[in-house]
Amino acid sequence: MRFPWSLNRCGVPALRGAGLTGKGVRVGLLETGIRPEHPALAGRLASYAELDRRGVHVPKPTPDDVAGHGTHVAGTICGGAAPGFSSVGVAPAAELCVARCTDGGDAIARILGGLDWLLDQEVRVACLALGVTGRTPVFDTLLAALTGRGVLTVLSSGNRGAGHALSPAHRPEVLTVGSFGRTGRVSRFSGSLNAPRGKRCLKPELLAPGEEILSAAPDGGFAKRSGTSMACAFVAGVAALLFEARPDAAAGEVFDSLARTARPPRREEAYRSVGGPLDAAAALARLDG
Amino acid sequence: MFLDPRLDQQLRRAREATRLRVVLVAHPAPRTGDAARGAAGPVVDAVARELGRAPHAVRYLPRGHIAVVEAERLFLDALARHPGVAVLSAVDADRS
Repeated sequence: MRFPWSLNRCGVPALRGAGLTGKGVRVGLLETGIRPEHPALAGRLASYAELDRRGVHVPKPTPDDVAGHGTHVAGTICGGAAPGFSSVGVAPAAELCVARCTDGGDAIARILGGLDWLLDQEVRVACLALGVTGRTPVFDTLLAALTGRGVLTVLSSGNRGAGHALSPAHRPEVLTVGSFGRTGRVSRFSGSLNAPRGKRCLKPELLAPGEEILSAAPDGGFAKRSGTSMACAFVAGVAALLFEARPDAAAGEVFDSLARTARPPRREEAYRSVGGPLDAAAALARLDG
Repeated sequence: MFLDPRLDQQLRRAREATRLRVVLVAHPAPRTGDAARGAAGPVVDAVARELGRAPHAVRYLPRGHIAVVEAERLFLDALARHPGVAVLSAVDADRS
């Protein structure tokens, strides 16, 4: 199997070599939509919803993704083969439940509608590559409801750089992911939440590849994108592999296995992330141990 | 009660009869609310009784004790004063 640099760097090949593919695991996405007819995403979409500007479900929505963000994130979670690579996705047999709610306006009303919808989709992982500025508690009750149902919620740390965290990525019960690039250094854009005095980092818990990430494009081809959304998708995909390996694992156990086995951050970058790069093989070993 | 700064600005700028949409999150107190509306239902009812008028539209997300309320500023001011309200937010926000 031949993988892009990003999957190799996170230790994904070891899990794939052990036969893990994400089979039987549903991952929820609140996104700009998805192009499920993309060759790398064929058969992955289990359910789809679209929320209008009042946060109300559009009847019988047709999956689409004009912005392309959701298709790219989906490809990183579970995309299949691309030219030159066995797969661009981490967990190619995982299923997706996608709610289109992050394109256009009225973001809060639409995201709340999407979170409520996810409660009924039997997902084990919620990939929320989104955020709003400031620290609002408006999402807290539905995030708590997801956690109560055993869902691991993975958030991107945002693309506004050090010291800038978004909501709801600041919440302690969500696993927040920042970005690193090919050099292994924290991406300049990768957001963080730091203690008011000093620079002690509180969020994100770990880092994943987020620069020049090859994945599915809405035109049916492949394209590279950068951002903590891409990093968030990697961690969501690895979480799907871990839930496949240990279906009885609690979301908190998978959270801990991912957060506590991340490699240490570089000393000079400790204020950018609590933990360093994702280590999928170590996370599985901790879960098995 | 958390009042979203963006909504605070909108309310300050709005006239009494201006219609706005907001997100209300109610305190999930025990023995309040119902399956269809959660704890937000009784809060909206109480404000409607107090003012003698109903909001123009309400959509409930009962599992989050949330209501998306469309109403005149006068109604929203009363919501903001109600002790059952935990969060009052604009429906939109700046994103990353």
